[in-house]
Amino acid sequence: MTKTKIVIAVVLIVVRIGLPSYAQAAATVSDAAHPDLSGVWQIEAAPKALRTLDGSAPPLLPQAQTTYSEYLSAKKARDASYDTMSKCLPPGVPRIFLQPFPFRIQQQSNLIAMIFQWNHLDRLIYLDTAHFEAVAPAYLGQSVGKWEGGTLIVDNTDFNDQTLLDDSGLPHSDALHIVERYVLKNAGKTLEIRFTIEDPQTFSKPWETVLHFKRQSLDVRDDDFCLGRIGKEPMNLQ
Amino acid sequence: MNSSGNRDNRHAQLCRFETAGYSVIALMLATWSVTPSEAATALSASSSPSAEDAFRQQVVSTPPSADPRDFNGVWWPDRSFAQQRPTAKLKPGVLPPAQQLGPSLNNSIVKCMPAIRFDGIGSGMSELYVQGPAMLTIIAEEDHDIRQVYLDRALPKKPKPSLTGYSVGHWDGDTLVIETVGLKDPNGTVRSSLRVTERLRKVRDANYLEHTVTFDDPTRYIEPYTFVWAGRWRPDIRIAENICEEEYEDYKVENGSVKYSDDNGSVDKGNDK
Repeated sequence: MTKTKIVIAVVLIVVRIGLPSYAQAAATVSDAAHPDLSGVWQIEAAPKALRTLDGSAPPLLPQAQTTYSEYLSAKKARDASYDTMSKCLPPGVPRIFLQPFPFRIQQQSNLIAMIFQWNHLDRLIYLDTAHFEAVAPAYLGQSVGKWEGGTLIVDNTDFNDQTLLDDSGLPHSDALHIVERYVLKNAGKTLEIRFTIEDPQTFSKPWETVLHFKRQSLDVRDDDFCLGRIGKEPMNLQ
Repeated sequence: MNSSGNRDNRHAQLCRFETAGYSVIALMLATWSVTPSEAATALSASSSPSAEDAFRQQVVSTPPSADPRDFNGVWWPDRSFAQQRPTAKLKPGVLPPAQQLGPSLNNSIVKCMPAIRFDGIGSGMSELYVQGPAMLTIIAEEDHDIRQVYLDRALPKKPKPSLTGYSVGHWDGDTLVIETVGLKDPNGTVRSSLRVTERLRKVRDANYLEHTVTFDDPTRYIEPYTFVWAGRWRPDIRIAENICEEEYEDYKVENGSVKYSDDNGSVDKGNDK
């Protein structure tokens, strides 16, 4: 094939598949210091209960251990009243990552947006600011991030106490502070997030856990509405 | 900064639907005071920022991007423009949306499903545009509503019908044209003939993002109809978490009316206001 033919072929392909005629290059950064985490991801193997890096149970304080035991008993008795996620309220961090639904990361120079398919939740990580005064404590907290040696380090504060850390019912207080470290592995096919979880009202010391996510080829749908899924009965019975 | 209270906003939305019989997606309403061309004229009347815009941008040191194709940032719906919608000219025998949808409309709103689409001005809450080469994500503060607009592909031939539809965008000059198909109504009716076309462009020295929205459905409407609204550049706002699902247990539907019970136990009928 001659050079001209190749050029024509490329032009035709671009026209056919309708690539955008203009890309907002300024909006996206990607180099060794800022690897592009953009893409669709899903948990590889969701643990039933979070464990520390050496496989131990998280270091719960006695009072929190009592609460956790109550939740475990309730769960066994099929009583989900302790679990706000059963009412479609947002699971917190890191629990949102444990759900068997994909999420999309869209990385920009000033922020990273995460779109979770589960009940179309969004989470924003600001890269252009320090922590700022929050309107109110939030289910997903307030996230500010920075890059260090190709790792995205996210500092999370301002959580409310309405969520659980995992599906087993691991509790936390509103003093929760989480640091996440995001790195790409396996030639970009795997995303690793390492969590440092600190909550002096719940745990005797900070502890770490790690989760791995597999890059997905499918899109994230934006039409999952949790209340529509769980509440089949019509509300308006006139 | 939160641009509106969660409960107040939800309540207002319900009231609006209750009283005027507004409907979903295609929601096309009762009266019309500003024509699309008048709204467009109003938007382009001034080419420089207002004193308020200039002051705000000075405070946060963030003027809007000069790139006409960069929509990144927070846009707040400005009620100065096109507050009311045209009445859809329905074909004979086609029920108005509120009647057609019946109870499914309230059901959908109370269950935090999208009753208003393509209609940012209705919410009064901000939207964050996250724009990359392949995707424009529009994150509405209200109800954490998400829109994903694919910029790297054509519309699918047979999209799976959903409440949110499937949206793709392409540039026509400095106007982003977003086309949406694959919609269905809250009562499950598939709107395979409905196509929504939005034209978005920055106007008034990039301080406003103008939306021209056209609904076309030859099976229901005699002719396509269009309305215009605008979002105002608000670099001083960071959208807040707004969780509609918190209120689900506060709403009750009795005798066809939505009742809202607040924290103090007082009950307010949605259609009284």
